[in-house]
Amino acid sequence: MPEQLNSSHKRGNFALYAIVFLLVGVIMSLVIFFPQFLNMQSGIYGISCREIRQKIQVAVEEHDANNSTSIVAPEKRVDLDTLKEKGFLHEIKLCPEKGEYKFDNRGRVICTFHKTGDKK
Amino acid sequence: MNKHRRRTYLIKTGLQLRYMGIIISTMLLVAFGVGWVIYHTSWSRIANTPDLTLDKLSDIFDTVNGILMHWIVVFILAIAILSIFVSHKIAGPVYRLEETSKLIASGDLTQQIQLRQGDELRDLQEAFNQMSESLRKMVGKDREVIDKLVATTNRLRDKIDKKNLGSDSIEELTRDLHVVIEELRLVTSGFKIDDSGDDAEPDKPVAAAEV
Repeated sequence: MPEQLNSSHKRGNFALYAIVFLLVGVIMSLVIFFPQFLNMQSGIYGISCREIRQKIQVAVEEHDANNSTSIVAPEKRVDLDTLKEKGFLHEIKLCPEKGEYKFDNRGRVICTFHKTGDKK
Repeated sequence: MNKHRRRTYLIKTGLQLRYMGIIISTMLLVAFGVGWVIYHTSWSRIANTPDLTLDKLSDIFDTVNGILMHWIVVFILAIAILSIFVSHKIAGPVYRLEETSKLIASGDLTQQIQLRQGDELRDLQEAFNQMSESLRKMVGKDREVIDKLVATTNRLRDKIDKKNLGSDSIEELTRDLHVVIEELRLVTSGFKIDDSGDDAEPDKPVAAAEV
């Protein structure tokens, strides 16, 4: 029995400390850092998406002002390629969260992921 | 296993402070490195992006994350390699101590520990080598006494064989044996073999009847 006790304590508490230290790190990452990171990422993606949406909205308005036919098709995808081809959009940028840019029933550009359209 | 709680935590101050220094400096180095990577990558991206608008924020964020992950892997690898070298300074001497202890336990008292330059636990090495040297001397002394005992026994046998065993001879041989036993007792009295404290006392004379 003392032999067994001896061998079970042979490596001391260092391994236990290391495991506890790692577990605390992993738990803190999962509980605190990771949600904070996701929150921050979502916020930054939202800001970028809003800005892209606003640029597309401006491009759509300029297009309609300079053309007899409107590009606005309610509930349909925004034709970004046409806007770029005609020079109203400098570059085609997509929503960082893979949302699609569509027109809502009032003709405003909305993102399928972030939903909200810009209020005029 | 000794279960009493430790009260003094700085026992080997030099060694412990050295390792505290290594851990703290490594932590600072990593903190500085990660901080530098974050600020350098994010701010240099922001500063070097022409006609910066908010729609590019997500691209900058993703790029910074990618670079940071890359550098974190580099830091982990660097620290893993560094920790192998640092721990080797302790693990090497501990390994040698274990192996030499096994050899000494098996009876080879000529073993001494020679550590490499930069190894830790120098004090332990010196103490261990002193112990080994002291054991060697004790066993050497023990052997000398045994040789004397053998010589006395041979003389006794010789006298018995020649039937030359007068009272003077018996007295002389008894005296010689007594001297040898005293020497043997002195040699072994240096060892403490239990906690009772009633081990052989070197000053206590041996009764002639015991001989």
